[in-house]
Amino acid sequence: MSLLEVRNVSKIVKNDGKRITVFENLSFEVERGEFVVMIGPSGCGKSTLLRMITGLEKPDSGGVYFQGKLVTKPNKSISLVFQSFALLPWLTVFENISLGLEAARLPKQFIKDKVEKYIDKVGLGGYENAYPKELSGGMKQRVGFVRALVMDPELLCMDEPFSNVDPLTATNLRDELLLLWSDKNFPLNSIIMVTHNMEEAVYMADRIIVLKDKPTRIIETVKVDLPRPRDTKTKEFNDYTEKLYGLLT
Amino acid sequence: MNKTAVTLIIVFISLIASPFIIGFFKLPPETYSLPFYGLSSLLRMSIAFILSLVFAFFYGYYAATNKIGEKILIPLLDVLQSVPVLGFFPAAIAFFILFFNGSSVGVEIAAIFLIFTSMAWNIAFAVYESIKTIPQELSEAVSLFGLNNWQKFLKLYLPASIPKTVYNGILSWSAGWYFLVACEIISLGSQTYSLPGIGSFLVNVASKGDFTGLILGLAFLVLIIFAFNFLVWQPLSVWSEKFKYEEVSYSTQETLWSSFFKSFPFFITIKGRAMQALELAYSFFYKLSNPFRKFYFTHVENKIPLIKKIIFYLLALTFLYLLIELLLFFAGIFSSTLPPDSSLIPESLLLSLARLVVSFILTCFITIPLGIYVGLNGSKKLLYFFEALSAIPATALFPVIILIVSAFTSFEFSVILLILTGMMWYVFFNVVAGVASIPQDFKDVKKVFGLNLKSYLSKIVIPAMMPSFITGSITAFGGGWNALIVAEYVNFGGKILKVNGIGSLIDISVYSSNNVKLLALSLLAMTLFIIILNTLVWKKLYKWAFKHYSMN
Repeated sequence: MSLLEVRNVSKIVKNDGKRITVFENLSFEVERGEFVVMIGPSGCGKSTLLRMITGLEKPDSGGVYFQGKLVTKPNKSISLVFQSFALLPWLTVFENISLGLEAARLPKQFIKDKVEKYIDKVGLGGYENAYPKELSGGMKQRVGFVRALVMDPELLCMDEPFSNVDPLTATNLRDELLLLWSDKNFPLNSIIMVTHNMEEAVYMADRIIVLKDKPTRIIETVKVDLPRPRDTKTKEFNDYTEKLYGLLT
Repeated sequence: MNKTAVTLIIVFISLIASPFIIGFFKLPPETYSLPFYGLSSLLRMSIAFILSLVFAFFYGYYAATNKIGEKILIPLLDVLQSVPVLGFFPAAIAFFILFFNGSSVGVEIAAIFLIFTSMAWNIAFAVYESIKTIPQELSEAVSLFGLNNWQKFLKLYLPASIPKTVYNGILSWSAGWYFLVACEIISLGSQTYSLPGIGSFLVNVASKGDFTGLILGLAFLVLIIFAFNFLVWQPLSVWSEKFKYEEVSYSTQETLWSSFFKSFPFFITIKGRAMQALELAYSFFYKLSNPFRKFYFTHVENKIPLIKKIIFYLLALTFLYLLIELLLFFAGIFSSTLPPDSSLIPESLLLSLARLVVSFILTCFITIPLGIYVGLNGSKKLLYFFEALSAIPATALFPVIILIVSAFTSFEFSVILLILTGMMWYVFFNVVAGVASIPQDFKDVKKVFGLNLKSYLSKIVIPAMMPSFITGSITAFGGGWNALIVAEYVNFGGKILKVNGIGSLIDISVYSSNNVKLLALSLLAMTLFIIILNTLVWKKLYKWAFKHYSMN
């Protein structure tokens, strides 16, 4: 059984009384330990799809199954990293990160230890009492990552996590994330990431799901067979990005 | 030591020393009780404000999180906000005195209730709008991490509401002063029930022609208002910046407290101790509340949707019941013979409207040129001066105006002046804001094309300020209707001064004839009249101004 199964989901939105089909009968799976990237033009409903997987939104037909069970509302095993970070501006870095743990009413000391462990891991040490407004985009997204990771999710969803971060920081963040993902001490299992950056997709994914719009459908699934860590300068890498360009334009 | 710290010390000292100063200069005996009057007024305000805050959070939260509730509560709030609250004060006094068996507690509660009605709607709107405009991804993040309703309220809804609540809270607070003074003045109408306070003090000394007392009273009122603004509101509004979404580092603006602690570092330790004590107390109460919280999470939390539904039906039923009662009440009035004075209602309404229009025209003549001047001049000091001036509740000036003006001309002239004081600041500050927001580009156009003052004013300044001028005029008329109730009928040291109008009709129906039917009919007529005026005139003007003159 796959970790996640998206079966025949459809989404219809109403705009000025007109019903517009965003996507219809979309299906795919995510295996355990797999890094899946969804790529496609903006406005094709990638974010909506992610929100359905996390249980924030409901499909109009079909369903999302996590470990064989239908997802109807957000649950602890699936977490989400937001494009806009979505940090609460009035809470400190520490308070933002411990949001979910506190909601689960875990003991204070346990929360503290756990948060500290992750904070050190991603280089947020010393920023525990800072407010999001005082951080750069890259640091904010680090908080976003840690906030999702402390929940020990088995599936991590990421909605264009690097698009509001400057390119240099994004490069570092990608490597840090891959390091955490491959670290067997962390329970993080599978990742789904949405992006429209083709190099990023090839650099990170085991498998790339290519979407095309009007109406949105999967036009191809590309398996990336490159050894990690990947070198963006090689010919093989270029072949993959070329292929994506060809598919998307 | 810096300027603000000095101000703080002066404010403190003068508050404490005021009784001694009065004693030293051998001032009239009633001035001795000024601090007591000031404090009782302040207490009345604070109680009303806390009640408003509690009400606003319940109302705003419920309206923002319940779709059906929203459809009833928000239009209701709109109506409540446009009705002149003061018109209901005589009715409220009559009701509460009856309810408390003629005890003066009734007057006290009526006053607090009325100040509450002048504060609450505005804050409820602030809470509602804040919750409604929370960015989608923030509420998604919060539901993603499994926060329960109470945690959601504490971590998201409450902090998100703070900036607007503080901002509107400040507006409500100054509206409160206006109504507080008015309540104290009106309650003098029924001689036996008077509220001890700064407002009644002002009327008392004025009716005796005691100028020293009048000036001292006004000075003391201004002192209280300023002290409260500096000690409470300004620090609060700086603190509330922390809860805004904008990606700017929050304000490092100095408050009296921050400069106080900078000048006297010794107090930082005391503050630290106090904080520690507070935290200790908090954790103590937190532990005490353990069983309750356990009960809440096991038995209540999962029933929240059900509880919300029950609240909704209860609300709907109460609302329906009140509506039916009201309809039956009026049906009863209309089916029996109408009180003879009720034929005066249409004429009174028109008379009052005429008075409002005259006051409004005068207001425009004074405030538009002044507002344009201040707005174009852009001087902060000038603006502060007018802000300080406007902090004096206009109702507190009523006794002064009556005392001076009525001595020379007819009472009618003072009534118009009184209404004017209740209107002018709304127009003035809106004109200033409108003019100040003219983009630099437009100002450059003036220079580049060499426009003379006349065409600059008519082609750029006046159109640019139009939308905010209309907004200000709408609020000004709201203020005008309120001012009318206090202005048209005045009990000045036992001497009744009045002019014909809906305000005096309402006052007379309670104080001199105790005519409930006439009161109810007058209130109904006035409310309907204002609602019709709003929908037929103001809403259309507002739309027109925004369509033609809005910058975006």
